[in-house]
Amino acid sequence: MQSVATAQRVQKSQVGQRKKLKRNDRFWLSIFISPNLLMYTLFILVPSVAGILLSFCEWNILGPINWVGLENYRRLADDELLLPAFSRTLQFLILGVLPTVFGGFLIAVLLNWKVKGIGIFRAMFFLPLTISSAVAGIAWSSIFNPEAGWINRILKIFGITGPEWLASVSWALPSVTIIVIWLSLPLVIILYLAGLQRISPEILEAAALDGANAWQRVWQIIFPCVSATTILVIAIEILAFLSSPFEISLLMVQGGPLDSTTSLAYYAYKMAFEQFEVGYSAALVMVQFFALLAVALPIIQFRRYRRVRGR
Amino acid sequence: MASTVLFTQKRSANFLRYSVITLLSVLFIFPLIYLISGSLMSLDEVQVYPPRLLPSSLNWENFVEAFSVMTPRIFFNTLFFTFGILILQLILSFTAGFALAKMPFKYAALIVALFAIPVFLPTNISIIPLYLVTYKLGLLNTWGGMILPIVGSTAFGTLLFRQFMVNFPDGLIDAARIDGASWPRVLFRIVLPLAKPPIASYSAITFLTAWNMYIWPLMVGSREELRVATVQLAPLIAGGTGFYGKVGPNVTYAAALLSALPVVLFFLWAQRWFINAIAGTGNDS
Repeated sequence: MQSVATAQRVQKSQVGQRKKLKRNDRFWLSIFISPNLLMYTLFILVPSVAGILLSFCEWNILGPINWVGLENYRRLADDELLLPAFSRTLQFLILGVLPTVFGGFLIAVLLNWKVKGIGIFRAMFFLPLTISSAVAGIAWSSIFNPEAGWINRILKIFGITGPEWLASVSWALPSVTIIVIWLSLPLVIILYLAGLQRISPEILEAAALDGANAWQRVWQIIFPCVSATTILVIAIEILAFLSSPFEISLLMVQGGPLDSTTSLAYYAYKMAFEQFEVGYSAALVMVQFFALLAVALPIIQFRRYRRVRGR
Repeated sequence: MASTVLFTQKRSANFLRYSVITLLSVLFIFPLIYLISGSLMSLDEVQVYPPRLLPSSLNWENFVEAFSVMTPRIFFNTLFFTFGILILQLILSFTAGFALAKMPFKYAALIVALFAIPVFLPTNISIIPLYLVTYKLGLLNTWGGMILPIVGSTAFGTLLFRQFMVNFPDGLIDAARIDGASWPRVLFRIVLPLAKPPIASYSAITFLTAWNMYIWPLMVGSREELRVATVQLAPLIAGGTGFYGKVGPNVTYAAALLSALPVVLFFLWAQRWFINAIAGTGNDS
């Protein structure tokens, strides 16, 4: 018994020795880490901190940087364009996140099936993952075309005159949302498929998709089993719908028509690169950051709570 | 008797499920199906109302014309941009991931925490200051400005490789160290040959992200010598106005397909690594 304890102590001291790095080791340690840390600091940490600091300054890129304190934040209150932009960001989130998460879950449940040829269908659903926003923009602008596009063509079969989609002030935002959903679904499906694979077969059997009430069993038995994935996916999609609509809108409708797809992120971009008001633009980005924090903190707290409770 | 009923029930349920999957998947990739179909139509046919589903004859010459949009230069630029980022970031994250996991030192935990920050930051919080840093370094409109700032986002790779190295058996490394192998030798001769799975996952994700990147290359390298595929294609998007650039929609579709083809083929070939990489991120949580 005692000898075991001694052996353990010896082992521990050996580990302790290994933990002390010699000078030669420190040389290689810095070679391995410094370039990475330098680049990371220069291009990620410094710009992030600079972004925060610039929100307290006034700068038109060419002139000097002036510290103006809270002036930019005071200006937010008088900005008539801020609230509409903020509301459009919210609309992107509300219209986009839940359909992506629930739709992705349902498709993953359908695809989680050991049957010949399922790989082809999976690959079809994963495909938009490889498509750039530019190519998606080209493909979808033909689909959404008010006259010659397929959506309005099919609606017409049912006697419905479709809207002008991307050219319409009220439909452009939902149209951009649909494209972002399409681009985001593959990732959600892949994550849910991975999550479903971790459920024990007995549970899945009990929730077998055939027979009556399959729909109910999917939501009552399978969905709770992948709740960890759901929380992760919601977090990822909130971030995605804060930034991706900006890129799609920039590519397809340049924030229009009549600013109807100008989200907060897009508004901040315009402020910096069209009006050259870098400081105010930074303040706008901070608004989004604080709004995100307000959403994210409860989620993080909830995850911690679940972890403590052991799921 | 009862079992036959059950059997037919199960069969019809399977048939239903099969049909739903088929219908959904075709609807889902319809924009891409039409992109392919339209890229082979003549200019008159692609603009006709009501829209046609299939071309009446295959106009392959659209693809020849599409090479005037997706020129070899644009392809070269996109490849250079993508692999520049992929390789430089791989070297930085692989070595740092190793050091953080296997060379214990005082600040390791602190640095790991530092790398976790971007998870909480939306990209556009730093993109304008990032542009300014690039401008101050005199890197606007240079390959350095295109590639290096993106290489700087090493967080994902570093944490991915660190996770792999943490689970890497200490015994192999200790044995080599006792035999007098230097740290680089340990890293490149012992760890590297066994690290193919995380390297493949990292490469798959990074290749995809870099190839499809739009806003950064637009801001920093829009002149022709640096222009990548996405920046070249963007002005051809009809958007809400229905206005096309100097080529017709059919040629635009063909050009879009040409730009997507390398990634799609690479994806179909290496699908497993993509899935592993993405599913892995889910596993950690």
